[in-house]
Amino acid sequence: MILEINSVTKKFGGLPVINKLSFSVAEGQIKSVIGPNGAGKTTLFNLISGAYSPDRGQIIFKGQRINGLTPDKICRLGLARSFQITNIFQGLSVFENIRLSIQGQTKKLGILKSVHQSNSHEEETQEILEMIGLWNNQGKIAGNLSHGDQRHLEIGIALASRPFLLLLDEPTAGMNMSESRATIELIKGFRGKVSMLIIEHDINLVLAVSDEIAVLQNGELLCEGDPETVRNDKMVQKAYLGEEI
Amino acid sequence: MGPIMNRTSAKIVLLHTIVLFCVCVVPGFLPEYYVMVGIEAIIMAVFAMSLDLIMGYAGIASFGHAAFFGIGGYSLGITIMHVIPSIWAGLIIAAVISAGFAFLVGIVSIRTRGIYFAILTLLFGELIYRIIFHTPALGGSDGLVGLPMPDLSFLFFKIDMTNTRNFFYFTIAFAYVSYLLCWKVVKSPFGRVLMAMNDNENRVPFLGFNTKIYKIIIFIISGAMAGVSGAIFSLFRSFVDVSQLNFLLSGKVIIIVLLGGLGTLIGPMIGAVFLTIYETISSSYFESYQLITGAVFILVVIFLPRGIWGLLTRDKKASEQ
Repeated sequence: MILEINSVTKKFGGLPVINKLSFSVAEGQIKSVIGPNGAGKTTLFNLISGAYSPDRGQIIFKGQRINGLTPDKICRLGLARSFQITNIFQGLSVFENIRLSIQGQTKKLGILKSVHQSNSHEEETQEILEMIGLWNNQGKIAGNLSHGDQRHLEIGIALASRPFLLLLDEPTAGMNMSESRATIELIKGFRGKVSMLIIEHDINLVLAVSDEIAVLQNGELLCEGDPETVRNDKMVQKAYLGEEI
Repeated sequence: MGPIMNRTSAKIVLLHTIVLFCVCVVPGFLPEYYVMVGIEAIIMAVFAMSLDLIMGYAGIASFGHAAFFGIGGYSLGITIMHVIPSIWAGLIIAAVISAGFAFLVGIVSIRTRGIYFAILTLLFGELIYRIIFHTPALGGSDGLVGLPMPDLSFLFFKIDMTNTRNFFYFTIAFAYVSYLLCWKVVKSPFGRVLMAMNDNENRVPFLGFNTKIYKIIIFIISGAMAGVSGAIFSLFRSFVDVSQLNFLLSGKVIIIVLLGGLGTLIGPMIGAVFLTIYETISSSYFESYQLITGAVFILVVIFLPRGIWGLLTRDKKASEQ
């Protein structure tokens, strides 16, 4: 298992948002987390990535306990995340957004070096830009990209740190149909290269890419299993999917 | 990346030319009084640039930056009066002590952000002001008066620093080295992380950067640079008093940075020279010259968000390159 979550609880003002939640992600697996609004999905990501610290329970990444670690340490261990609300460097170039993320994995502060001399990141950056389809836009200021491209850059930044586990928080948020489809293809392309945990509302994406699905409701695990099992689960249908699909 | 490099090197060539011009020509033609104004202006320029380093690049506002300027002055004063009459020793000790103080302020204040950080730096500044004001050994409200002016040993030469023109060349050299240092820092991978923090601080930790370390380091560099410029300022005036570390000066240097152009390094330097010369000239004609400074400041903030340098170059903010 690359990620194990053992009866984790997180309360805000006495109210449990995540309640004794346990589940795991296997090496190389693509797992999706679905659930209605307020189920605690984003809180779960904030706990795993170190933005919050859990009140109880353990989060184990690659055999190491990571709860209580700061986000930068967790990122350096090889766990990267993207954000639901686009969280890029709006004022910097697309190229620089990606390059910075690669730089984040080097140990040196680089105070005496020149950015232009350290061309070591150049190739890697180009590679990621090509992967997320923004190679032609690399000189643009990130804030001037279209919404769909900004979402892809968001994923690219997370991917550029070469993580073992990638957390994607609603990668298709606010996208139109064709942008969504492009994102599904993009994520499919990562299969086998990186383990993924994805929060998503777009059920087409979830069914298309997931090996396993976990359904969250009120901070608890309602059901877990392969797409077929989850789709046929009566409780899930009632709680989240509504009518049969 | 090509065009950016070219534009940057063009700027550097321009700067070299201006500096050479100043060094060789200007002081020779000017009456001594104006050379002295020039020295003061250039020292303020480096002081302003040190603030721009944290405010314009890392997005950290310091409302107590004069504390470093003053601490540098006092450190040099004590050193050359009581320890060893050497300008180099005074400057090195000024740098070390102000860097140490910056580290202390940084480590305490860095857990806060934005206005809370600014208020903490303001409080630290006031604290230092009060402590020195009430310490007789440091001259209290009178300050340290009558600093000696030792010769400056440079390679095999002993330079007579009581000669105003020599002091001017020394100040120019100091400003130039400081500028190159700042330029190097902001163009380094380290500097890029600062710019990223300025743009979107919340995301930076999720890229694997410990933002606190970056902030403390840049705060120390900035504090040390402000300290050394304060030391040279005191040396030049041959005295140091509490006006060199009070809030009025902290406020003035913030105004200079905004006037000149935040996050451009060269802009605040131009702003400092501009304001010092303007104040010197206008204060000899009428008393309420600061009314005009205030009005100009308001107009610049409203109509020239990139300051004087932004107007001159119509350039994008450095972090947008």
